[in-house]
Amino acid sequence: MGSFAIFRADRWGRFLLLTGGSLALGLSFTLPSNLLRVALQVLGAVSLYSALYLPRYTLLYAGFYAVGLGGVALFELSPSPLGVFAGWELTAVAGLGLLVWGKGYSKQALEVGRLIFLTNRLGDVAWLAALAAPHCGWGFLLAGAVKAGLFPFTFWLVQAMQALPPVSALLHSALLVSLGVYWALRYPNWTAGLDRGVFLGLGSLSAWGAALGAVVARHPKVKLAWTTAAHLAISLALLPAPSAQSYLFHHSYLKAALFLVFGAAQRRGGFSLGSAAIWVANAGALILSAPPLPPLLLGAECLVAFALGQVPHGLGWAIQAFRQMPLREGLLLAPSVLLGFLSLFENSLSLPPADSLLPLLAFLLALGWSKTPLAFRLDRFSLWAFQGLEWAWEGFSRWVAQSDNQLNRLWRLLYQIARRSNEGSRWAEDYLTARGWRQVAGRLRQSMAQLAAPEMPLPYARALVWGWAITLLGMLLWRLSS
Amino acid sequence: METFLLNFLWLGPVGVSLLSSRLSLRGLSLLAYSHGLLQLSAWLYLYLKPLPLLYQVRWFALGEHTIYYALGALPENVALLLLTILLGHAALLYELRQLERPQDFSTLLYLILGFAQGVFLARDIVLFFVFYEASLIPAFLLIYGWGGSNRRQAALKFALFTLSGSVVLLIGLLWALTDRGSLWEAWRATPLTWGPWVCLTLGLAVKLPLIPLHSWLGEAHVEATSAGSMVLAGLLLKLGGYGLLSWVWWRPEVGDTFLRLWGSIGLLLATGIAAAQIDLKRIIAYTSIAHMALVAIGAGSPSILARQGAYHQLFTHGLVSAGLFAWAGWLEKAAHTRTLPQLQGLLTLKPSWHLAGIALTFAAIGIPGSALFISEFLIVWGVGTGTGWGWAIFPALSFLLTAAYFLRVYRLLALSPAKALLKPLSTNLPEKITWFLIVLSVASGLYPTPWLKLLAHVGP
Repeated sequence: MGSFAIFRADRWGRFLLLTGGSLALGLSFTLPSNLLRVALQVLGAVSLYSALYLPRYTLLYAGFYAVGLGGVALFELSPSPLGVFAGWELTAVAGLGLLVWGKGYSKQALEVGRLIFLTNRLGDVAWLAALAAPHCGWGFLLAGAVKAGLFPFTFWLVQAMQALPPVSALLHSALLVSLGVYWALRYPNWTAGLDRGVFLGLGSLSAWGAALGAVVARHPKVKLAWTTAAHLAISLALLPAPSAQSYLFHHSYLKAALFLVFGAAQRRGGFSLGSAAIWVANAGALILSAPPLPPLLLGAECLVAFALGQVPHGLGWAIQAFRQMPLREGLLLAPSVLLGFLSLFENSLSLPPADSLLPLLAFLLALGWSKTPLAFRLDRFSLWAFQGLEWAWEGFSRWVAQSDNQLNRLWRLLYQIARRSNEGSRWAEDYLTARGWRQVAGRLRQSMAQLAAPEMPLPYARALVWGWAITLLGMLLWRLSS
Repeated sequence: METFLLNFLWLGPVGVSLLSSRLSLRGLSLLAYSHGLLQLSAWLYLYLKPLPLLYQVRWFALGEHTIYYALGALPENVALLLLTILLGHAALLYELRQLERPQDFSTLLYLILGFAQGVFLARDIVLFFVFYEASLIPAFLLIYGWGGSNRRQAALKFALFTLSGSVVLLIGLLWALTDRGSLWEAWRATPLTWGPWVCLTLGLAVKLPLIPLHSWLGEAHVEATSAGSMVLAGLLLKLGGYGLLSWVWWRPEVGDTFLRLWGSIGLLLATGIAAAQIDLKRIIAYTSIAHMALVAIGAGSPSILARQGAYHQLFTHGLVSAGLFAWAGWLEKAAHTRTLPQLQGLLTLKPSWHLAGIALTFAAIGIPGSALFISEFLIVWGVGTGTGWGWAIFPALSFLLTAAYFLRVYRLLALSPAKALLKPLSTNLPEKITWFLIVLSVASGLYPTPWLKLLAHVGP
C-alpha cells in the first residue's frame, strides 16, 4: 500500500468526482436517448456518491470512471470500427483498473481483475473475428454474452463482487455489462443473419440460469450480480423490439441505485428504514414497469424479483434496524433516489402491464422471507471450465518452452559438432603438414641432394636437385602425354 | 537540399562514428544530443515535404543490369527513419556512463544507426542488401564486446544465423534481379516467382525472426547489454520485417497462405514460450518474436489494411519493445538479477518503477490508447476482411494470450513481498529514457493520425 502514495491526492480527487459528477449529470440531459446519456447519468450519480463514500484513492477512481465513460462514448459515437472496438475494450480496462488498483489492492483483487479482463478478451477474439466476416452476428453475440456476463459466463461478474459498491454500481449498470446487449441496438446491421428466435432462445435460457443462480446465492452482492445477468438476458431475449432498450436502460438505473443503497447499508452495518424504502421503491419501479414478457421470460423475471426481495433480508428486519440517519449518510442515498426517479422517467410513467403483478408478488413474498438460501454456487462449473482452459494453456506453454529448449540444445549440438569437426580437420591438416608432407619433402630433398652432388656447396646443390626433379617431372609428363 | 538530407540520414551517423572514438565521456554525451537533434531536424524537414522524395545515380553495372545508388523517403519508411533516430540515440545515452570502452560502444551503435537508416532509405535491392549486411557486423561486435558472460557464444550464434540468412537472401535477390532489375519500382511492379520468393522470405525470416529460425534472438537479448537489446529489438528486427513488407511485395498466392500460416503458428508458439519463462529479458524477447510474427501475418495478407497494420506494427513495436528492455535493464541494475522469483515485489519499493511497470504492461498487452493496439487491430481486421474470419482468430488471440502472461508478470513484480536487495543507481538516465519511450509509445497510441494518414498511401 505504501507504494501508492502517489495516488493519494484525495482533495483533488474529491473535487474531480464532485465537479465531474455534476457535469456528467448536466450534460446527460442535452443528449438524445442512448446509452451515453444513461452512462452519463449513472456516472454522475456514482461520482457524487463516491466523493462521500470513498476514503482515499479518489483521484484514481475519478480517472478510471473517466476511462470507462470514454469507452462508452467511443463505442456510441465513433464512426470507425477501430474506435468502436477501442470503446468496447476501454470499459474492460476501466473494470480492471478499478478492481486492481482500487481499495481492494491485493493479489486476490488482481486475480479477479485479470479474470475479468481475460474473459472479456476471450469475447473480443470472437468480436474481432466477426468484424472480419460480414453478416456474421454469432461472433458479436458471443462477445456480447461474455461482456454482459450472461449465463454461463456470469462467473466473472460474480467474481467482480470484490469491488467497492460504487464500482459495482458503475460496471453492472451502464459502463461495462450493458454494452453486451446494447451493441445489437446500436449496430443492428451486425445482427444480420441472426434469427429473432436465436435471441429469444439464448436470452431465455440464460435468464433462467442466472435467475436460479440469484435465488440460490447467499451474499447480497452476489445475488445482485446474478440478477444483473438475468435482466440483461431478458433484454437480449426481447431484441429487436424497442422495449429491449427501455428495459436495458431501466435496468441500468435500477442496478446502479441498488448497489449504491447496498453500499450505504454496508457502511451503516444494516438496512435502515430509509434505505429499505429506497430499495423497495427502486426494485418495485423496475418490476412494475417491466414490458409485457412471454411466459417463459415472465417465470424468470419472477425468480429475479424474488432474489431481489431477498437482498434486504426481510422488511421486518429493516424496520427493526431503523435509526436516525445522519445527514452525511442521508446524502449518500441521494444519488440512488435520483436514479430511481430517472428509471421511472425512462419508462415515461407508463401504467404497469398486468403481468408485472406476478413478479411484484414474488418480490413482496421474498421481503418477508426468513429462510437462508442454499449454499450452492452455480458459477462454479463455468469457473472450473475457465480455470481448465488456463491450465491447458499453461501446460501447452510449458511443453512449447521445453521444445524450444530442445531446439536450442540441437543448435548447440550442431554447433559443437561443426566446431569439433573443424578442430579435427585443422588437427589433421596440421598433422599432415608437420608430420607428413614436411618430413617426406625434407627426406626427399636430402636424399636427392646427396644423390645429385654430395660434395657441392648447399645453394648450388639445392638448385641442382630442384632442376633434376623438375626435369624428371617434365619427362614423366611428356611420357604420359605421348 | 533534400538530396543532401537523404544522404545525411545515413552518412551522418557513419561519419560521427569515426569521430566518437576519440571523445571523452562528456563529449560523447554532447555529440549524442547534438547529432540526435540534427538528425531529427533533417527528418522533420523531409517529413514536411510532399513525399516521396527520391535520389538516384548510377552506381555500377552487374552483368547487363545497372545498379543504382538510390535513396528515398516514402510514406512507408518515414516513421521508421524517425524510430531509428529516436531509438538509436536513446539506446546510446541509456548506459553510456556505465559501460566499459564507451567510445567503442558508441562507434558501433552509430554504425548500426547509419546502416539501419540505409536499409530503410534504399530504393535499390543491391544497396538494400549492402546496408543490411553492413549492419550485421557492428551488431555482432556489440553483442560480442559488451554484456553477459556467454556473450561471445551468443554473438557467434547471431552471426551464424544471420549470415546464413544473408546467403539465402543474396541468392534470392540475384535470382529475382535477372528479370526485373534492381530498382524498387520494378520490384513492386513484377510478381515474384517461387524460387526467388522462397529464398527472399527465408533470408528475411531469420532476421524477423520466425520460429524455428529464432534461436539466436533469445540468447542475443539475454546476453547483450540493455542498450544492445533495445537496438536489437527496436531496430534490427525491423530490418527483416521491413524487407519482407517492402521488397517481397508480390508473392505467389500459395506463398501468401504459407506466410500467414507460418506467422500464425509462430505467434502461438512464441506466446507459449514467453509464458513459461522466468527471465524478464527472455520474456520480452519472446514477446518480440510474437509481435513480429504479427508483421509476417500482415505481410502475408492480400489486404492493404493488414499491410498498413504491419508497417505500423514495425514502428509501434520498436517503441514498446525498446521501452520494455529499458525498463528490464533499469530493474536489473537496481536488483542485480533478472529472474522473476528474485525480482518479486520489486515494484512496491518505488512508485515510479510501479507506474512505469503499469504503463509498459498496458503497452505490451495493447490496451486502447497504447501504440500496439492500433497496429494489432489493423492487422486483425485486415487479415480477416482479406482472407476470412478464420485467419483473424490467430492474430486476435495475441490480444488475449499476451495479456494472460503479462498480467501474471505484473502480479509477481508488484504484489508480492519484496525480496530483492537494492543497489542505488549511479545515474537516473535509464529511468529518464524509459519514461521517454513510454511517453512516445502512449503519444503514438493516442494520436496515431500522422502516420496512419501516410500509410493510407501504401498500396499496389
